[in-house]
Amino acid sequence: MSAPTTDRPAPSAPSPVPKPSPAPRTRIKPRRWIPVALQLAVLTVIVLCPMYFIVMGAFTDNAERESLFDFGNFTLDNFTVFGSATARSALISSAVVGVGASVVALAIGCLLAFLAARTDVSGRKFVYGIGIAPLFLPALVGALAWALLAGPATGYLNLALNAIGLPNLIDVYSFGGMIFVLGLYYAPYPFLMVHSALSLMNPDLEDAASLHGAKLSQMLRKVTFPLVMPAVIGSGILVFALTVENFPVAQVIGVPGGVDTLPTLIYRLMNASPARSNDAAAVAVVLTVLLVVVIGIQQKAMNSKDYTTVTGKGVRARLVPLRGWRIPAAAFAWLYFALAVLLPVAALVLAALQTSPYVANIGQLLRPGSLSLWGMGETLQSNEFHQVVINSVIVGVATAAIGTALCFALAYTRYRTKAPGRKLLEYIAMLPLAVPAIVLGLGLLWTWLALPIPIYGTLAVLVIAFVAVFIPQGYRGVSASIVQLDKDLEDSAVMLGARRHRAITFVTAPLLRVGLSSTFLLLMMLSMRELTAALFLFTSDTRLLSIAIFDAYDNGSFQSAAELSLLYCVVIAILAVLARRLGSKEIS
Amino acid sequence: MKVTIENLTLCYEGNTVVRDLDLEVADGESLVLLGQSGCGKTSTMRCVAGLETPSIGRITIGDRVVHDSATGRVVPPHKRNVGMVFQSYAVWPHRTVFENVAFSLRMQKVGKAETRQRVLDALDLVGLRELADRGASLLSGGQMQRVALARSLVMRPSVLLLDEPLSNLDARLRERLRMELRELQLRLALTTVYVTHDQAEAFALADRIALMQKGRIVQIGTPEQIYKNPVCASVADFLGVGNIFSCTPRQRSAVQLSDYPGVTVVADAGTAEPVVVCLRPEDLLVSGLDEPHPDGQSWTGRVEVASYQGASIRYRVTIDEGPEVEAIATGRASRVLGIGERAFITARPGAAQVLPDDRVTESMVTA
Repeated sequence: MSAPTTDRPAPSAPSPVPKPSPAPRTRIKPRRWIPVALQLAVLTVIVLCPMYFIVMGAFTDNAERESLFDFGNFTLDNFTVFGSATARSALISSAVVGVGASVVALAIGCLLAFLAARTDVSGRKFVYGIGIAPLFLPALVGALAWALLAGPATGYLNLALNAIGLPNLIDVYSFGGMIFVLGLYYAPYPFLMVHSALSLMNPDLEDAASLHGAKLSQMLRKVTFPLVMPAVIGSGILVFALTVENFPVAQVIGVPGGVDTLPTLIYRLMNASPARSNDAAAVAVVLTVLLVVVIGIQQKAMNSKDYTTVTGKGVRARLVPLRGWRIPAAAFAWLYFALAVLLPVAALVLAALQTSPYVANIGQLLRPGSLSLWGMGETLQSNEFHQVVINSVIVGVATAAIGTALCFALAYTRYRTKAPGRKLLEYIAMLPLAVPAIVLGLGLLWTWLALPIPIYGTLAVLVIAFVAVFIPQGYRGVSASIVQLDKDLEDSAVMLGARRHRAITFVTAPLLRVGLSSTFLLLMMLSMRELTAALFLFTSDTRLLSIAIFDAYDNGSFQSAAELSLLYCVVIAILAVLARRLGSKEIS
Repeated sequence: MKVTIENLTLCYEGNTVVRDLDLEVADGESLVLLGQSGCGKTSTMRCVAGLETPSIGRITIGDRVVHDSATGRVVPPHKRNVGMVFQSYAVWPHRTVFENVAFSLRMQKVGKAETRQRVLDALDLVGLRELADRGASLLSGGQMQRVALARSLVMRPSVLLLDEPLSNLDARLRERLRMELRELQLRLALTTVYVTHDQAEAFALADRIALMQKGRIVQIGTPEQIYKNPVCASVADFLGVGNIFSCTPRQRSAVQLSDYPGVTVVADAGTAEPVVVCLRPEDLLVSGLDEPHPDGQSWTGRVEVASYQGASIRYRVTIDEGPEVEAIATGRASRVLGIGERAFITARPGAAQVLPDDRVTESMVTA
């Protein structure tokens, strides 16, 4: 940790002092730059190196990744991959799916947010719960469940339609299906952002409009909606970025329907034999540049001046009376809940319990003996399952611990010291926000193949990948709480005779306890959910729950994928409840 | 212990916050750094504490040089034995009162029995002994301030720094604590440096006041000296002299107001130019035309606002063909004059001061 002041041993007796020299002596003392240099080194290895390898891979012709510097000759040929129809259509599909999913997610999220925050809809509290519930279902699980529900041949919904004499009407393996599933599972992002903007808005702003003669509808149109507009736009762009880089849904729903996106294309190029790594790097560069631009716009929208007016204590929001629409509005919320949570979970339960891998009609499921807990029990008892859970927990806990510590160090350096280069640190720490997980994972693969440290194939490399992917979230959490903590609290301990590190452990760390532990839980939850960053980095010994599910699906074993998915959701739900407990403690 | 600051300059990212400042605080003296926010007073104090590293300069506490840019010698803050009371109190909410106060003794590895004794003594000093075991988050603002004070006193600091310690308290409590602080400082013969922007607080607490503007000390002296003889117009303005008018010397003993040529004020005209004439509200007496008016130069005028303030009445009066002035009459002295009433405004003999006008350039810049 870098201290704002330098700490040099004082000579025992004051030396005779010459006249002060006119020019300030600007030496940078070791105590000051060593911590910054260390943090910079860590960020370089986990964030910058992977980017370096991707860029080098995209612009050179050597497919081998054995050295830090030898990449062969410079070339632009790799980008000719975009000459192929697949790559071009993947680029277009990515954009179309991103736009479509953002529109769907925004429509659902904003509507639910408005209902939950500002109307008297029946069961308002439930509407809030519905808005965030799909967060507990990782997109991978949601996609699997919808594949089970609405697969063109044997999807449960199609079977149900057959039972009442209709043909197979629903095919989720399509453009529409992808947009639908992504929109469904990313709606909580706009929901949360718009909901907090709506409920934190200073009610005086609205009251002022009413006092000056605006009707309720005018007040909403002229004051309320313009004030939440930055949140709407910002969250829309965020959803676009997240859906464009999303791999699991695209792989599970899109690929069987013949829709490729940039992330699935990268995955396919890397799985070709021999792996077309230079082409994959070129695609990765294009995807990253696209996201850097989009995230840049998003950050700008969120930091715009308008957004700062949306602060306040969230005292009392004025509720809009819905009158006759109270019930239909609630029905809309419940319909969303059914589509995003209830039906998918039911499908997973059915798939996990059914004894025969193939179900030709819905009646088959009703026969005695067709459903059993036997398979589930088998899975729970298998060594393989235990290993996978243990791996997941180890990686989750290690990511959370290391990530929290790193983010604390970064945030402390940024906000509590005057160390040179502290803003650069922050910039690099926020960079992974714009780097797709699949690209970062690929870059890390090449980094650890080239670096002479043999951690490729261990859990450690997965931890590094997850820390790298989630630094921005962790850093934001920790720095938000460090900024709120009065700096004098720590300085006063130093004035009373404590060394800087003692003051941090006695005052700052304990007072940030809540902020740090919720960051810990957030990182743990995020790394439990993450699949994409680990795709290129796991080996058969280091499989995680998310990877086991993906593998099972990849091998066509929907049943064990469903079993694992259910158990996965239980673990994540437990973590989420813990995180929420801590969060509410922080508020009180 | 005495504190010597020589040649101190502090720069922040290109801005010079403190420039070439020299200051000596005698052993046992209470020195107040007074000035507007952003004048560099807190930065100067934080340099003494070691929380800021000066760009140039030397700071000595007692006989010990704690900072010297020329030799590169820097004593870290935790080894300076300087007590500091922060504006925000900085009392640790996750510890009890006792644990807060005992912290410095823990750092010095003082024995348990002695720690207990010294902490309780310090709490006695600030009147909080009964609250020793209470969690610090349950204290009121005034109590937190006392805890912060006890916490700094228990380490027997060479010098005690106080950074606007009373500014977050309500008016009555502030006045009471001000008296207590002064009493405590005198009793313990503590060397203190006190930072404030409140002139009344400075007058009440200081042996000497150092008035700061833009990183420099513009005037230093006892409260009485500062009150009676501000060195320039901006100091007079800051000290709350409401009536400051630019003027031109006419004879050796009178000046003519620049904006109101019809008004001359009897005063010892200086030689410097440009100059202003200053009249404290409390030196201007207001009386009705029917009342006998006291000695001194007087004008007639019209009452614009009269505001009854209990012990005194505050008037704003427009002098005929002259400026609007503020004046204070003690409530007992006369009846309250009504708005629009004609009145005498009498300046106490010798009250008007002619000072160099250092505000000219400033107002030109802002205009």
